[in-house]
Amino acid sequence: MKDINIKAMFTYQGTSMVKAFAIFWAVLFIVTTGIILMVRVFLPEDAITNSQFSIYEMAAFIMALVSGIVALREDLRIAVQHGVGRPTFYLSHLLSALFLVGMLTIGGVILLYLGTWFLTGFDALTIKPLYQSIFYYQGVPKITVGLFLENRLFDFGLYFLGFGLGTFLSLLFYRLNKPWTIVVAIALPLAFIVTLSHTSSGNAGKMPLSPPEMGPVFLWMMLVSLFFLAVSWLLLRRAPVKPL
Amino acid sequence: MSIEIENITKCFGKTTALNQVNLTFEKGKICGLLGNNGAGKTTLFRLIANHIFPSEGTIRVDGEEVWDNDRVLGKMFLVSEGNLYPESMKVKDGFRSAGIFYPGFDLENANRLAELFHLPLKKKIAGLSTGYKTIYKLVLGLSVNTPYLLLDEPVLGLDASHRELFYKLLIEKIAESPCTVLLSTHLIQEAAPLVEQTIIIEEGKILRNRPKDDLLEEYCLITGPSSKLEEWLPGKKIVKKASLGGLASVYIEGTVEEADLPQGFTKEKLSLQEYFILLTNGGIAS
Repeated sequence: MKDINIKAMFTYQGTSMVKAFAIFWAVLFIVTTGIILMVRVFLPEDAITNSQFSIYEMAAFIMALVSGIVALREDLRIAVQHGVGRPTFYLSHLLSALFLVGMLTIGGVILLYLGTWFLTGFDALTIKPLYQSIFYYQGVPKITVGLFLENRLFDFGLYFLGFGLGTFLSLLFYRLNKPWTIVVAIALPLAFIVTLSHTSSGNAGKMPLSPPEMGPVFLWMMLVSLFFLAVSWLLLRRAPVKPL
Repeated sequence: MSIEIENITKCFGKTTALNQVNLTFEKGKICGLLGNNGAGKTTLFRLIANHIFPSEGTIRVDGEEVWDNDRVLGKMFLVSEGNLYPESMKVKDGFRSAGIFYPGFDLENANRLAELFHLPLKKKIAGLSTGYKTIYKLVLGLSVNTPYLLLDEPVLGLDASHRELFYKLLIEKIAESPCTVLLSTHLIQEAAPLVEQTIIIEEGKILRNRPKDDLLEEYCLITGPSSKLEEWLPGKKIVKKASLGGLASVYIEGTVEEADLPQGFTKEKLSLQEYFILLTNGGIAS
């Protein structure tokens, strides 16, 4: 049995993730507070508008995606330079993914409730979780524990999907040679656009989406993420470490 | 207890960088890995440190295979030309990271060495000059206290005074906490006093692997008057000949006792650099 140096690797990666998350959350807090302040100052309290505001989840998804892309290459180089093998590195990468996704999910809840609290008694603007904006577009009568958990599961799955996709894309382009990089860089967005146009043409007029069974949706997101992460491991296990 | 390299072959596409290399680096020795550009030195270092995988063969450290083996990989530190540190990382953060991964890392020593080399701690590693990037890695290498220290071109970009300081600090470090050092350099003359075991590599193949002193006994340089030298030479195995005016010099295989030399002849022992050039460019290898 080979010894693994997971503690050191996770300490390094976890610290980086905490720093990255702290900066991200601070920026989102400033943006959210700024928007709320602007609305409260410039919009009369009885203004007839019902704007919804849910930027956090999309920003957090992008954050998870970018973290998956950036953290992988940087941390792999650090790992190999400091005597940590690829399996240990990847295990730590997965743990740090869960750690980051957890922080993003909790951070979202805190920001949501802080924002809602700032907007108490002001109906012109509401901060809504992305999940509710998509599936409960016309509003829900009461936030139950079940709906709260559904929101969080959706966020967690979404961020994990972002991280998994980021890791996969990072490794894919890391392993491909230049001609294939160009081919894939063109083919991937094309495939995405074609798939999207086919899907949306079939669903025309069906928005807003009806509330899903959260269990299967969460499972689907986790399975797709795990698929990306499993393929990523196959790409990583014999990957040469290239200097910058 | 050593680094054992067995039948290592490494191909990059159609290029064979290393071809059936077999080597053993004995523990506690300073091994000099010498070779011309493209000989395969860096590839060998990168294979030992598991940055890349071989096409064939095995590398064992203290009896265990190195591939993704944290216990073994944690016993070595590679100072190489390539930069593996994030662009945003500062020197002091690099020291802190090394402390996380290497329990034996001596931060106090790293700070002392940084001061000796005038290495700015608050500067980003990517923003350092070539010489200071090398110094940063050397400071780490001299402070991690691993049993194996791999130095691939450790004086790249260093000025003469920094090179001298590095050699002095390396000797001090080995005296304080002995370790096995694998050193590759093009500045053979400077590193020669440190080297105990010499490995000469050319086009991915090992030409020589012997203790330095034994190696230098292989050939000697005899100088004397041209006419007398021609008379003396029959029966000797000549490697290379040169003449200037009335004097001629000849490299011969084996050694000759001073007492056996005719009057007016001198015998010189080859330096490691002369030996290397003779072997790789003098046609002996082929």
